[in-house]
Amino acid sequence: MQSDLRCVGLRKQFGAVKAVDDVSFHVSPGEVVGLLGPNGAGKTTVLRMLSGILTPDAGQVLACGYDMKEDPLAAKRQIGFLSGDTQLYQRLTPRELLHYFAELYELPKAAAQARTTELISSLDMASFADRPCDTLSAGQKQRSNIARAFLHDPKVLILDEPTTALDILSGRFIVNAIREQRDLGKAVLFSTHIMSEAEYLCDRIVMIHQGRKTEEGSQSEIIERQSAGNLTDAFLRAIGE
Amino acid sequence: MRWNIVLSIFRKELKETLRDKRTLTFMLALPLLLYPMMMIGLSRFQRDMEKESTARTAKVILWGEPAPALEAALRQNNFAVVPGHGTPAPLAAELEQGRVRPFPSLPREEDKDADKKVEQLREEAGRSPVVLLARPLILDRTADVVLVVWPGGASAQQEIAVLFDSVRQDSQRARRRAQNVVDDYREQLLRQREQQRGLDAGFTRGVRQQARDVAPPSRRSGFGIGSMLPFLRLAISATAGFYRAVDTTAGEKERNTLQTLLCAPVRAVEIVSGKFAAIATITTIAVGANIISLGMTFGNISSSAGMSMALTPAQYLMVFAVLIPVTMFTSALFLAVGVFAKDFKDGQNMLTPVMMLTMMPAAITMLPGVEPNALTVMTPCLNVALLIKTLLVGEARPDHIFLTLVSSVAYATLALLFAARVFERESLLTGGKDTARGIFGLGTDRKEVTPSLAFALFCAVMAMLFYGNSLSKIDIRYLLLVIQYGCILAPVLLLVFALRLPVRETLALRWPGLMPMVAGLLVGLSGLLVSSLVIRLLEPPEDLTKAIQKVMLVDRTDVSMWWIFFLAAVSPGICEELFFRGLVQGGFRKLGLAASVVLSALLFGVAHGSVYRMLPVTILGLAIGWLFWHSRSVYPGMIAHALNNGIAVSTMTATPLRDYVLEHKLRHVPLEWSAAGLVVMATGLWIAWRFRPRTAEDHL
Repeated sequence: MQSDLRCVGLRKQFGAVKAVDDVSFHVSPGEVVGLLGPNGAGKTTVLRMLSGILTPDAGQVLACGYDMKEDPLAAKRQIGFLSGDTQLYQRLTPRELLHYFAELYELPKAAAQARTTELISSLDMASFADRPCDTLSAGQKQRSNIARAFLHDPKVLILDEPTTALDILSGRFIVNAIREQRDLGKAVLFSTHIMSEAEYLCDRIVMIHQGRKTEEGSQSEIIERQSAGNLTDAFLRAIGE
Repeated sequence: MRWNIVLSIFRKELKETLRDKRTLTFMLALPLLLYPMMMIGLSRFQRDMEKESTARTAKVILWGEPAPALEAALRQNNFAVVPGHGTPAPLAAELEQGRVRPFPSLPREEDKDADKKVEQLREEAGRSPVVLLARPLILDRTADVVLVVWPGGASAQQEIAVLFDSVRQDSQRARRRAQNVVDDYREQLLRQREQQRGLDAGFTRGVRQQARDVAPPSRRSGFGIGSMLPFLRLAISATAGFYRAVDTTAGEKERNTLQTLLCAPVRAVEIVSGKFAAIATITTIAVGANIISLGMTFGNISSSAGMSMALTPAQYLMVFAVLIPVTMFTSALFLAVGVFAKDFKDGQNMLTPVMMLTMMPAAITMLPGVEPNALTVMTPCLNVALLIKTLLVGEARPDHIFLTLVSSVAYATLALLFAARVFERESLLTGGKDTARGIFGLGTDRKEVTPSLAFALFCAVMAMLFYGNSLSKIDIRYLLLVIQYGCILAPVLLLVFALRLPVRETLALRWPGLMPMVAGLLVGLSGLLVSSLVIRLLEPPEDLTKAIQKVMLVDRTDVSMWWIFFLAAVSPGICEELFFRGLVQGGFRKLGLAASVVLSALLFGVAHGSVYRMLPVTILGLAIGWLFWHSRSVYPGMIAHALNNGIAVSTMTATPLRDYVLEHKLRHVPLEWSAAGLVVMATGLWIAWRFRPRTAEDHL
């Protein structure tokens, strides 16, 4: 069984607007791929199609070999999705939230219990795991969200600007957690507009602009191709600025 | 659908609700506190006001020539005659000279122009010098009422007017009391006159009229509670479900928690089912709390007023049960509409008119004269509100109960199907917009009819039948044509062509072979004999029997037998079979043999619009459904249906058969005939099973 994420010829149109136009790339196990693009480039639409929230007008998404269109439940089981603007169920505690999603992912009860305990410990959530989510700080909420995304031990992680609106400490915590997942052999797709995060985390970069892929490769390859001094300059050149 | 997932979503929604103070307030605190505080408090306040009013000394001004006895009676009855206000000088002269005429009597209620005449008299009275002079005195509270006694009536009929202010309570009460005093004075005057002339007591009065209410306390209180309860229920339960619906749809979209659910391995139908179950449960709990609180409050009020307990717990339980379908309807509707909203505020704006629309019909029941009829029993929310009212006063008819419950369940199912459809639209769930064509899948190429589409078309056809039947004034022949071809067949064909469905496959227009047709023949021959067994259990009333005979054109001697058979047997055989078996049961096919046959037979029974006809028609539907399932063709059912109807028509119209029925005074089909019919039908069903098509090519 493949343990990667692939998309081929993805297209998505909203009315007259082509949000995503013929985007293809893959993320291998043990690899962090950064999806970079300016606001409105189509990053979130691509990530939503990859995670099964949106259906592409054309193209194919394969999560660990499972076709998102043909077998969406199996494909979704391989993926952990997290975005920076996702909030939590305000009147549940993080522990209840994890139990709820364990039921949705049909994890056996004992395994769910063990995994919840493990995540609460590894993500340092013990102090707030039993407090209602609406009383948590932004960093605590995002840790709870990460725990939710990691809960079913997915082989693929799709992270949409996960450090948005977090302070430096919380941001670093998240970034380290992502590195740990990569080291565990997970395929990680990571979108951000913070270049330093991309430089620090990503093994490869995919750049998109106006719904189309403009660049793909390792940081050094892209910098060289764009004849730029650093990733930020390469990014600006790739989008024609 | 995985029920464990639905249950998880349901439990999570319920848990969140039970931790939400706002919903809890609307669900439990309001009904449990509001009714006792409002009703007991109000009734005590009203009693106190009445007591105070009776004890209060009312101020009266007397003009004209009041008899000393009348003045004395007023003083004895706690009236204070305002001093220094004798008849104003200009009025005294006018009265004396007879230039100010007494007010004419008001028209009777049955007068068709009563309202117009009352308005005219009111205008005329407004110009009278008596009113013009009395008005400022009453309005500035110098007096509560002014009594005007026209002069010259001491020996004949005295004219007395009681002038009052209808807006001021004190003046209204003083007017009632003053009228009672005048009535007593009149009685006293009559007795005096009888005594003076040596007449028997009561001679001049001639007749004493008394009215007594024969309605028992349960009926009176049933009417009172029944008028109010549906509106209160809808108001409270709508608000209880309202917040949960907004929060679980628009609120989740706003917080982006819905997308975490959408990227989990969960189907849209499981999400909508879990959320719907939670909203319906919360609303049902709110309804239960309302009914318990209302029952206890009424019990408290009635016992403190010395009356017997108004309604029994069984009656409240019955009301609760009747409200369940309408609760499901509003829950599903809120859920579906809530998804269209972008955020919580938008959700509130969108759902408020929906909530008002569901409450408005219940408010109509509080109006006098709104009764269950063909239109009201099919109107969502209004039908249930009226059913509650009629159940509580003991006037509910089986047909009204049946049609109300059937239409309410149909509306609830339609709303739920709509909610499920909306939840499948990713553009709506992710904050975008969608078109009606997109939501309902119009203009797209489909391969088959789904169960939900089949049910939605059934509801649409039911609505068409309802409106078609309202054309009862046209000739019954044309009415039958309109119903069969316009209301049943036309929507079927319209759907097939609008959705570009393959006609032959969708409507099962396939020759099944000889033996399945023989099976259809046997079922058609025996259908009436078998279904008559259940007619014995639930005998239709006289008016329904006459209505059926009318539809069968029994009383139409001017119509040829060929026409009768075409309209009452052949047409239903074609149109109803294409709809109920071809489209509906065909749409249910993926549900399996038992579910598709039973469901389509039930809908077939329900569509015949009467609880008395439902059972026999459902039995026929079961047999024809079996034929359809095994033959995969609509033709054996057409034969069976047309033959069944043809035999029914023949027993009422064909001379030899009708004469036999009349001669032997056959009220029911004899049991031995039914037994024989059972054997024939069983043979037909066996043949259909035995000779079913077996090769893949034979299947549609």
